[in-house]
Amino acid sequence: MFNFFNSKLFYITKYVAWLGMLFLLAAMVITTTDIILRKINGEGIYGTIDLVQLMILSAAYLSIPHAFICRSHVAVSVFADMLSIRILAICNLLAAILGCVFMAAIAWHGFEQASMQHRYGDISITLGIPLILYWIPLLFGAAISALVTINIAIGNIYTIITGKGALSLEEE
Amino acid sequence: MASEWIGIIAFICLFGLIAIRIPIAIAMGMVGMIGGIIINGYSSVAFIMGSVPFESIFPYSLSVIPLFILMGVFSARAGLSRALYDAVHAFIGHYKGGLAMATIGACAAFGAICGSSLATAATMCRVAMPEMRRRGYDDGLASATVAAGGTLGVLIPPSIIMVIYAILTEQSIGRMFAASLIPGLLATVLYMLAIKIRTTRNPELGPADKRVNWHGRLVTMLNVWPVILLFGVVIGGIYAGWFSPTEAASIGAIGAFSLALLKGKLNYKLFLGCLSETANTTGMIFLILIGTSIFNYFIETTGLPQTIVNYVGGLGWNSYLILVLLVVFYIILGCFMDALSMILLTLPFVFPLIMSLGIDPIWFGVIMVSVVEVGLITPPVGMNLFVIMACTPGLRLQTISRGVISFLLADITRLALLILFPALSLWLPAILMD
Repeated sequence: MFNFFNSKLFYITKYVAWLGMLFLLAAMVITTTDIILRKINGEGIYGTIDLVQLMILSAAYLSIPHAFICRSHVAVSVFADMLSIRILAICNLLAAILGCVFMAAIAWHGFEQASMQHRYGDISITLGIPLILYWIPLLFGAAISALVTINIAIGNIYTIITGKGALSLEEE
Repeated sequence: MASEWIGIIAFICLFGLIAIRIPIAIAMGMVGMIGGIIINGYSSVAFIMGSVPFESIFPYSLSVIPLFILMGVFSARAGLSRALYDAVHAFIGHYKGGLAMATIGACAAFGAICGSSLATAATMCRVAMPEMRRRGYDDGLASATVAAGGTLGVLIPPSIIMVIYAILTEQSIGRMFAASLIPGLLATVLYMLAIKIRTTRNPELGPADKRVNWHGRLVTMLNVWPVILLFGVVIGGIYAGWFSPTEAASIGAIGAFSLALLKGKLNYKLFLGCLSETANTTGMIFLILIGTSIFNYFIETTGLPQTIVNYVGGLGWNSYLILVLLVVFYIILGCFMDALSMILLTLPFVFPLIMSLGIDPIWFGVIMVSVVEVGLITPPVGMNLFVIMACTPGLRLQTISRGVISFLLADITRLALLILFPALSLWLPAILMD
């Protein structure tokens, strides 16, 4: 059951991260096209900054869950080699719980803020893109990240109980 | 309890969490959240948690970061490192320690198109380590050379850490890049000198290779034109006023992607691998930025940075002495923390202090990045050391740690020169941008 959930979550975060990277590639293409058009006819793409901000915000937040599942978030491992597998799992469990609380807080309070901006009809400066569109990747990325940290926490509880290494979150 | 004391306790808790392997971004964010609740109450923190994660990623200037990461990832896959290595080796490989010096030269050149130290170290390790081992180089010298060479990726523009420093302190990215060019070249020369001294004292560490004739040298030079072109367009474009740093990063990413494609190094699977690698680094950096922003909001409300500024100002110490103490502090901190976290964690205190002392923020930025870069090769948590160990079967931490000592001495020499001669950092930006 855990293994099934685990691999599904890995695939979801991977595809979400790739989606984020497509936004980044789009930002790259839009920026470059804007430069070329400006050089050719003195007029670039209208609202480039609004679009790039949307793309980069999406790329950033959609990448965060994948960084969680791949254990890419920077942690200091000075004493890690000296700890037993159970103690290490307790530390990792604490990290996962704190990570879950942090990401859930971002998602929860972000949702409140997004709802308020949506009610007020807030829009971007140049293109008038509704700001709620900027919030969607943020909320989605934060919520998925919270889910990933729950999964990591379960893996560490398994290690604490059995003394065996947690099931790999990486792709088989 | 005075809010400053809450700030100090928060710092102790933060280091405690970091010591037990809590990811730095999470530790900073959670300490900022809980500290904020203690000082300002829950409703204030609820507002901050709702707005800061959006505002800290929203600025257009931040888009330069993932774009430079993308450029670095594509450059690493384009196989440019091999061409660079061969070209430098053709010129200096016949000296004692020549292969190691060629590695440093190639790292410097690769750093000019890849803004990441880890990527530079990992890429060059795959090219240089097998070659040096095959030619009988001492493992300690060879591995430490690649680890130290990797740090040049941070110092030679474009550098992701420089960009982050510039954005956070509201300095010009172009000016920061110009300021770091001479220190980057100085680091390259000093690293080569360190190798030269070691191999002169003990030639068995790095035997000389065969001399390559001028025809061979010219042939290898022809293969490095893409690197020169990419660097010229990206960095030259910024100073020529053709594009902003974000635009330059976009052009660079497209250029690196095209090179990888043209060289036949990029199939569908590798392309997806590039995207995953970029996503991991992007997610990691942006989560640290979010955690730092929340922590900084809290720390500013404690008034601790201002208290420190007033306290240090009241001591009446010479600004050079304070600068040297800060460098020592960063070297010690660098033994336990990674470069980016160190900068983000300490900047809220250190930057106001630096400004109050009248120290040039660009000059300080170069010194700060140089000193945190030293942390990348200082045991026990020098990130580059782990990268090299991961790429090199059978390499022990003791071996590489022993090897980096001479490079650390070179780093200390460079830091001393940068502090004694601010013009090393400030002359080029003045020429190019004033």
